Amino acid sequence: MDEAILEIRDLHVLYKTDLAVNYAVNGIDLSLRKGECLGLVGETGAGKTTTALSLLRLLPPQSGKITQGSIRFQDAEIMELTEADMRLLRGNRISMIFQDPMTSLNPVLKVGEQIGEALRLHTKGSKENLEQRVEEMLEMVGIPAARKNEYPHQFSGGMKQRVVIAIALSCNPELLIADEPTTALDVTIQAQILDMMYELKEKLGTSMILITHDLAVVAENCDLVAIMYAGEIIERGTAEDLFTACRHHPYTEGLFNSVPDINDRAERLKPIDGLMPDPADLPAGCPFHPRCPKRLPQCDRKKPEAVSFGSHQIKCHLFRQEEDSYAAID
Amino acid sequence: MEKKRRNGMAAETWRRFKKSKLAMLGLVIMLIFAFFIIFAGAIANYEEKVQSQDLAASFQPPSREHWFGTDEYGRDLFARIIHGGRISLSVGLISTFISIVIAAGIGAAAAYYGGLFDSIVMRILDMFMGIPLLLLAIAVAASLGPGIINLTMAITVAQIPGFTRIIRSVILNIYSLDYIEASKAYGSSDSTIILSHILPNAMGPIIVQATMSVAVVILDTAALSYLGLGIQPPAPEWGAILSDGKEFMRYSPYLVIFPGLAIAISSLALNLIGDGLRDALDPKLRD
Repeated sequence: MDEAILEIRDLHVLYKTDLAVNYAVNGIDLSLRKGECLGLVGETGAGKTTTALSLLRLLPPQSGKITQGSIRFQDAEIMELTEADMRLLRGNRISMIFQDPMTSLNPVLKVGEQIGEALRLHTKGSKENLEQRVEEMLEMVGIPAARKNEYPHQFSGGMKQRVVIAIALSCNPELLIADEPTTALDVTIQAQILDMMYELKEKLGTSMILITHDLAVVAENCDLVAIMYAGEIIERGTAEDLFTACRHHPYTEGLFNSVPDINDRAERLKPIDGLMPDPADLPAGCPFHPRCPKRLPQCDRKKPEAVSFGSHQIKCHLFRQEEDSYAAID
Repeated sequence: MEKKRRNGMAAETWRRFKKSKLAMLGLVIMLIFAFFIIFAGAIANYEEKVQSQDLAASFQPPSREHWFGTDEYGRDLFARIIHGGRISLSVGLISTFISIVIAAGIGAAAAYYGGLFDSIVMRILDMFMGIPLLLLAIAVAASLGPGIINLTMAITVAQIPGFTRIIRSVILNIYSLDYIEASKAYGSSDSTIILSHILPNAMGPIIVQATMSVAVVILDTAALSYLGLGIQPPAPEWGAILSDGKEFMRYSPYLVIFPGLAIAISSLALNLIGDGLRDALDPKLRD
């Protein structure tokens, strides 16, 4: 239980185009133990999906490049595996759920065949066994087994996402990466899908990385949370740390302020001013300083070090490491 | 089990195909053509009607004895057209089929691997595209020598660049879709992705393109025959019959009308079949 199944150390990823070099992920560290669920939160363009794709080594081959860092998954170093070994890993031990269920199923294949494809690749067994397993998977995600002979367009969005989840879980992966699995769905279906994912995760003992920009989703499902900004993890901790601690990174505060509160009669939300910096032209020092309401003089020169208190870690000059606590600099 | 599933799919496609009246019309027309072509020997003796000349009976208009009339050597035009169909249609269908298969392979690989490989393959094909299809076919036919098989090969080779372009662009479109990435994420190999995800989704445009090009091939075959690089006279072939008849069009228009109709109707029928097939293969249109 204590052994981490996934260790990411100092991961750097960039996208090279003819015009610019985009620094998408800039030195992130993550670790995840068996059965844990990590929520990766951040705005569009923070590098969440890039991190996920790096884990599977599925970055666009022409432009995406992992420049340094290590990704250890169980006993294997992902950066050093051959492409053939990677294929054995993908779908079998690490699988991924994509954002949009509308486009992540092949329109000309029956859903049963698509679930069977991953199974056929990674498990041995007779055709009958395979068919039986496909039916089990469908039942498990709450779709009648008889519908395996239907095509994706005959399913609704929520049902398609269930099928995608069935594909992802068909080989009992040790790690499931869910890249905004509910963004394309409406709210009631979101809740159903998330509940189902949570249940299945508990049942199968799968570890999960849940990528989202929805803090409510994180609060409900995740054990650990990491907040990403401009390719860095600026704050991390257990879900409890994030939602109950009184000290936060100013960006995290901004995120919380952007969520409507049912008890508050405020007319307008308080969004964070400005936009995410251009990944091709990141500001010096703390990447958040141009938008930060609590900016200090050193913020545009020096990168803040991580300050930690127990499991809670913040990268911001506002806080200073003391013996075994952290204190605000006032 | 596998076989049963395949049959199931074929049966389903057929059920969908049957619903389209136009596609069925095309199929019926092609079956009528096929009947005449297969039993051409029994209907009209090759030696007697197609090859031997009877100058006394030349330029007869259509009559009960000569359904489509006779040509300048007194040969029965109907017999020549049904015998000619054997060559024209088989050259058209076989060369189109083979070139589509080869082009699908090249196009899929170029689109899938991209980068340098794609650039090299496509620039080589661009060189070929610079040469008109007919000239390319002439060059190949001239180097191989006349004959039906060489003719088929020449036209096959000449068609590959155009098809490859179309297939590559269709595949590039499909390649950017999420389900390809999803398939990679669950560990499929390149060949599985190309064969079971990309090509089935590309079938629609490919089939339409293929059926349209059969008519073009029939006309190109005629042009090659006319230049002496294809079918050798007196063997009949639609395009050759048409271009022979051209000289007498003014006084005996039936000499161009009938072979022209044969070409036009068969290519129309093939197009209708192609459209029907495309719709039948598209699961989104299934009910």
